[in-house]
Amino acid sequence: MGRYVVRRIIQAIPVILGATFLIYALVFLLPGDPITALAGEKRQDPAVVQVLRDRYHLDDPFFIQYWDYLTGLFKGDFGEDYRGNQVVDVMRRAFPYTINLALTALAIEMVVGVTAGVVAALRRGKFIDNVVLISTLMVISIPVFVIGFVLQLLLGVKLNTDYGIDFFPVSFNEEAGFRSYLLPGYVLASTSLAYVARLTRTSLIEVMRADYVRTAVAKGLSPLRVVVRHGLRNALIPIVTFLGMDLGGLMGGAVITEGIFNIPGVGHQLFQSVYLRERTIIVGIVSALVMVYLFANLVVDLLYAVLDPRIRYE
Amino acid sequence: MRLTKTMRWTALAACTALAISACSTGSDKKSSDGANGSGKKGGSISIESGEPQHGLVPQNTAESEGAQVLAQLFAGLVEYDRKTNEPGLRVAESIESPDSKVWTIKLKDGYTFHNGEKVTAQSFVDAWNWGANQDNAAEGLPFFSKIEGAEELAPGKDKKPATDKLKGLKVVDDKTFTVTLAAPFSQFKIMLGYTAFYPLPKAFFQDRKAFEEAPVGNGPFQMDGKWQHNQQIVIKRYENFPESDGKAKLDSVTFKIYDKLETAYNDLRANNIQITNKLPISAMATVAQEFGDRYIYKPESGVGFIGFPIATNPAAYGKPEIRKAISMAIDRESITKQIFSGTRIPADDFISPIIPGYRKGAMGDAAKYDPAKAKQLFDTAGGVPNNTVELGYNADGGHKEWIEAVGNQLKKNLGVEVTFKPFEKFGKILDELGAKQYSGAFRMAWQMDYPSMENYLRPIFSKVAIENGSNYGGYVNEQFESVLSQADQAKSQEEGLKLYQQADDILIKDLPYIPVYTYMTSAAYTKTVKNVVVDAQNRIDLANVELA
Repeated sequence: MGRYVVRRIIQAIPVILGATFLIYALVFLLPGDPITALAGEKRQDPAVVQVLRDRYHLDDPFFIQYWDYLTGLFKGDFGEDYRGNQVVDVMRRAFPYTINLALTALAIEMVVGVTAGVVAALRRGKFIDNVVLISTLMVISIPVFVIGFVLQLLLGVKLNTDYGIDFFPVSFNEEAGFRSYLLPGYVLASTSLAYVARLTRTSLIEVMRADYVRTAVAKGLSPLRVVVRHGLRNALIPIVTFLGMDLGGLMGGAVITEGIFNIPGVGHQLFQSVYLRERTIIVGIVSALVMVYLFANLVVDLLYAVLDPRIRYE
Repeated sequence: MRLTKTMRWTALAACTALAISACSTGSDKKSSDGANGSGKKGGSISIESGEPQHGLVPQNTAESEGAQVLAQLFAGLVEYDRKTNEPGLRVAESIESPDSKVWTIKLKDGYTFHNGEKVTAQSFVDAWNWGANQDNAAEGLPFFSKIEGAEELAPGKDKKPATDKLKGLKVVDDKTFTVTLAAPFSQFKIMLGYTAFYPLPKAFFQDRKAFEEAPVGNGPFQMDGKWQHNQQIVIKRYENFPESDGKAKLDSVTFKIYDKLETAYNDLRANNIQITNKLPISAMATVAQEFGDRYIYKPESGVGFIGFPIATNPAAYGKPEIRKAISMAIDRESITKQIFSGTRIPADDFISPIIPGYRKGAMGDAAKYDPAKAKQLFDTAGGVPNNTVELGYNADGGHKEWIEAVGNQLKKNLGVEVTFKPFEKFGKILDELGAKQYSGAFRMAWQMDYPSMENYLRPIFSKVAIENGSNYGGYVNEQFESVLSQADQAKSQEEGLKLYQQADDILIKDLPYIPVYTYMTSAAYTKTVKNVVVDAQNRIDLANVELA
């Protein structure tokens, strides 16, 4: 087990290096000069442009720039953006919001999605099963930004102005604390939630037909114990895989949701940075996201053994 | 920094933002109401903002979000009347010059920075020297180029400044300094209200990083804590502000930073924020009904153009008749109504309607939609090579729709082929124009830096602006140059104004660019506040806002 973890971590190093290189190269290839982007549509004074280009070594060849970046990275220096902010500071500011948001979304997915899936599976073909299937189909087919804006208008604005219930903040608000994450968390989770529900349903239906489940029923175990201990535990493997993968997506893919609810997180920062060609921020954030992804994968792989003791790590 | 606020500034080329000090002249009806109104003193509000692009240093801020915050934190030498945009004195006691070349500036007593330091002549001189030095890479650098010695501090690419002091700035005593310009410039006083001309305290030079996060100004508000990036900037009343009628009425104001205007608008409707001066297009249909007289709708300083590469493609766009024909074939009314939902209005002058010197209908025929006449003029002038007009635009700023509408109108009215060329950024159009890779017409817009006609003429159409400004088409007209320089040397602003209007007339005859629309400010506020005035630079005069 310990050796397995160490091996996985060592394997991750070339992946991270490759990812930074790819992202760095891609951003380098993006058309548009970062210094020009700094001034919007205005033409800058050529002397000012030169000073900035020199300061950030933008006229060096690509490999020298990348090498400089990489050596900085090994010293723990993520560099500076073109406006003089430390990338580490930018990331330290943005990540907590996104982590809170992603965890809220993940919790909603797990609780609501798995519950809906289990209920649907156990009442297969009944009314409740159809409700779950149809509602998840609807959620999957509606674009996220529509769900976001509609919920924001109904629960954020109308509930407040028409009924005086100020529970869901329209946009992120530090004072509202955890409540700020509920609505965006749900919106962010909505699509995955539908998948989790469907996945749980299919997986559980299959497992419930397995011999060992029939044995458990024949032994006279209580239905709850049969479902939770014997059914769900085995049915969870594909769901855990999905959720693990999804965590990476939730962290980096929250651009739209973060935009709608004005959460100053990673997606929001990444979007702005791409627009402004802030190379160091893009590479920094994406590398961090790659690490999150790799870590989530590792955790998922380790969880398999917990769920199914037959699985061993060599 | 604002990515999606297409309604105003991403749409503007050369969108140097503007600075206006929070005005206190009280000439506006609304604000005089406030003086004897029953408004409660104190209280706190939140208003919409975008993330400022740079650290908050006046000399390095040329974008609207940062300038709006700085305008509350600083008081400049000059402020602009909210209604007429005429310059008035603020920190300056007097600004005088016998020859428009050597200016003597005297300061009023009593202004202090928020850390207690006195505002002296040196505070201004130090700030300007810093901004003019190319090593500091300040965005406001071009504003100091008129001062004598500017080229020593900004010698250009690959050269080092020889000194760090402008030769033209001399401190006479604590309250007086003189500014010598390289050449006479009658509008110099008007420039002084711009953000780049605010003073800086010693604290800035000791710790620039700290200053950028929490600037120390001399205005009616001071920072309350540090700028919380992507979240908010909180400012509070500065009790020692010396203007009796300019003191902030509110205790504090929070600039809440938004990424999407739709979200800000929803927050406004839920009264989570109280004022926004940028509305999303989606709100335009219903905002008047929803907010009634708390909805403000008036022209602002931006003008949108179709530009022509006169220098690089004279065969197609060299003749003024062709340009006039194109201008007359554009249905401005339908473009502004149907594509911009009234967030723009048809332009009829090179100058925005809010600028002293603007003349309604100045363009005459050239701005009138007359397809028949346009076609006739176009054919008589010989048309364009291959009978094809190319229209370029930057695809990141919401310009596709209106450029395509213009193209279709030209197709229909002039019988030409129209091709469209999207560029990923506006800068790319400029690069390709410069390298002669692109020789088609292009979209362009201009927003003023200071409310003077001169600011709509020289930076876009003069010969010097080809190298060092925004004359992207390469238009040159000696007569225009000479009238412009006469206007600069005028002994008074009024005399200057007349001459600038003459220069404007030359442009109207030549049409190097075609003015298409003027931008509109649209702002709204909730029932909980009053005395909300949005000025010509689309800034809210927060010092006078009160709780209702």
